[in-house]
Amino acid sequence: MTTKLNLREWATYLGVIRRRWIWVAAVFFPVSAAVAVTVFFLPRSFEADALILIERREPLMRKIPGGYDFDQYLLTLRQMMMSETNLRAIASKADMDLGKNEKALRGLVEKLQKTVSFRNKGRDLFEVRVSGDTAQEAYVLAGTVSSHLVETSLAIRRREAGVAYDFIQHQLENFRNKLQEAEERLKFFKAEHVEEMPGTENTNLSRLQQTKTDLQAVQLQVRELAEKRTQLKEQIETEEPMILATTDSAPAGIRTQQMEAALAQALLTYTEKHPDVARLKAEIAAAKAAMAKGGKGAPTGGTGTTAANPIFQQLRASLAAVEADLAAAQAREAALNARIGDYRRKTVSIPEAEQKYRQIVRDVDVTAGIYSNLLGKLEDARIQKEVEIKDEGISLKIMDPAKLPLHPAKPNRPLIILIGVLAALGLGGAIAVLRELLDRSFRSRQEVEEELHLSVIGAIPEISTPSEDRRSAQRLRWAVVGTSAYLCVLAGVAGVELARQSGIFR
Amino acid sequence: MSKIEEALAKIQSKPRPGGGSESLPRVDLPAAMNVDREAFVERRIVTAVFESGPAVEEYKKLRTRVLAWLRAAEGNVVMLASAGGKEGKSLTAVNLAVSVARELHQTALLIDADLRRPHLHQLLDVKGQPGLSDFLMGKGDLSGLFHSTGIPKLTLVPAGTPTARSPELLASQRMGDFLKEVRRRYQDRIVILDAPPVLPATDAVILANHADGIVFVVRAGGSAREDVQQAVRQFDPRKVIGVALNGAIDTGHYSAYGYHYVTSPVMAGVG
Ligand SMILES: Nc1ncnc2c1ncn2[C@@H]1O[C@H](COP(=O)(O)OP(=O)(O)OP(=O)(O)O)[C@@H](O)[C@H]1O
Ligand SMILES: [Mg+2]
Repeated sequence: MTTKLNLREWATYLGVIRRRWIWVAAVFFPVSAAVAVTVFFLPRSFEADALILIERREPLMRKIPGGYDFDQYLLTLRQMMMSETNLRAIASKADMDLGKNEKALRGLVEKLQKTVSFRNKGRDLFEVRVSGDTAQEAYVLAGTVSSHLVETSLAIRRREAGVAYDFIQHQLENFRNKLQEAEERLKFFKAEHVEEMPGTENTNLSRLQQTKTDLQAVQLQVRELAEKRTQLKEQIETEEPMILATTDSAPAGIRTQQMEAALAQALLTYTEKHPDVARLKAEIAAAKAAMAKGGKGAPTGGTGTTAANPIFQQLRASLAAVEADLAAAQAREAALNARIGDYRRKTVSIPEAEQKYRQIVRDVDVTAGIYSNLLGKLEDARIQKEVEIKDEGISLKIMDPAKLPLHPAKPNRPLIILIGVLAALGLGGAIAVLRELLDRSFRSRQEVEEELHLSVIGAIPEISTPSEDRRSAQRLRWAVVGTSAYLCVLAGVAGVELARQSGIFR
Repeated sequence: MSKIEEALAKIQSKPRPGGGSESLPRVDLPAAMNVDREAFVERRIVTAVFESGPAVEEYKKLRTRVLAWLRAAEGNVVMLASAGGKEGKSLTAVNLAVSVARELHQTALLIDADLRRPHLHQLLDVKGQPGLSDFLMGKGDLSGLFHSTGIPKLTLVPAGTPTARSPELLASQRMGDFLKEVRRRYQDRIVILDAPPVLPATDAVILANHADGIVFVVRAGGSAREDVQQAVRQFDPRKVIGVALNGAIDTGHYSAYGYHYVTSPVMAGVG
């Protein structure tokens, strides 16, 4: 039912076109001719393509998270390729071959952005296609793009691994130096603060204590000596430095008495063993012995003459000895005092030094930790680097390099001519139908009866006369001949182009 | 005729969807036939030459309907009108007149009332003068107006000297008297008036007063619908017999007929 209706519709349209063929012709011939002529003035564009194989090492691929998606990989590759820097690199590489200038280079980058296409050719194969204004341009560009692709896809990964390795190595060196420095500092610090080092404080303290005890003893001695000196000085003042010698014996007896008194005096402060006591005892003994000899006629000097007071002399000597001892004791006291100050200072500065020490130690520890960590990383990077350099993982290989295109890819003249012919025909038909639709006249009995509300009492068909028939037959003949000839010309042109495309005229 | 020509002729003979055409193959007529067959065919007066055929059948149908109407209306004057020019009034008028004349007991009088651009005398190859306009202007008398056409029982009153004063002439008392006289003298005749187009001038409307019935000629692909409607509204609806669709497509109709030509002389059976 519907098909019948459709057929009828089509018949109606065909009828319209047949009735208004003049419009079809009036549109078809100029339009198709215009298309056929213009097609030879359209700018030509050439295409060159290279076939690239993606090689992959399965074991490594398995390590890639998310698995391996060829289309995704292609997409990534394309994106990587389409980056401004890459395109510039390609353009400038190609540019040298094409002998263009800087301005053209920028144009080339833009062109690449528009024309480079990646196509999945199945099973790890893909095609890189580039178009250019000339065959040479397309060829050079496709060649450059494909080789650049292969080079950079490796180089980028290699460089990535290499950069990582270099970086880690550089860091490692850096930290090794730091570690050495820190250790050096630690050593130096330790050497410098050996007594302040933690653990030495007890020795210092005991030494301080010892010194303090020593100091007390020395101070006591100094006080005793000072006392003795004062006594001696007082004694010396009471004694006459010179005495009058009357008889030998008398003075001798007096002297012995005096010495015995001194001895008693000395024995008050000193023990029997004291040198002063001993000396006095020896002197008394000597004086007694001399007295016993002088009685028997030994000449003596003392007859009315003055002589040096021996006690005085004795006292002076003693004073000198005491003063010397005092000076020595005082010197010792000063030394001990200095030492105590030193010890005291050392004991106080220990926490400060310790803090400094701990910091240095921490530095060393941290640096050492980083260093060993980096050491591990460097090993990883080294392995990665080696893997990449050995081209494991994904690598690209040009299977089919770009070839110089022999014919332009665009415009596809035969196709455009064919499309032009069909489009012109369609346009003509459409215009005929449009005119029919815009035609406000009556065309059928039904229309008249519906709109005029009058009955159609006769529907007279077109009446053609024999001469008209002859003329129209002739016209049809010419139309057929002319249209055939015209179509033959178009087909010939398209055929020549098609043959040129398929390389028959190579 | 080459094979291609034959084929082309065949294609050409098929009616176009826009309006079926009628091929007119050569038919050998008896030597006694007193008509210039070729000339009629070239002028598309198919009713004078063929007994049958799509166009002839339609003219016959038109005749039948018109005659029935006139009989019912007790009149004998029919006018052909159209909204615009070149819609086929004159051709339809002639073919209708010939069909009427070919009826057994009918006689046709064809009057060319298109006084501005007279055409019927050429179509029927008849002298154009003296004609209606001359008579209406007072030149000559009634008897000189009637011209025989070579087709039995068909008489033509040509339009005469072309004139721009047609409305006043057609509205004149003389025109009324003329038609009265015609009706009176030829009561058994069917009078067919070929009018000028309706919209450009008032002639047709004036003329319609003298007619008993009006056949509206509409050319398929001709005047716009609105124009036709406007033209139709100018007339008394009671007088409008119907529409003669000229150059029409009517597929259903067409298949019912086909090309069956009667090769007998036109005037067969006419005494
Ligand atoms: N059915 C038809 N098939 C083919 N041609 C036709 C048909 N009807 C009319 N014609 C042609 O169209 C033209 C105009 O026809 P015709 O003179 O009859 O129209 P008209 O309405 O009388 O015109 P006008 O308004 O000028 O008097 C003529 O050449 C005629 O042969
Ligand atoms: Mg006319």
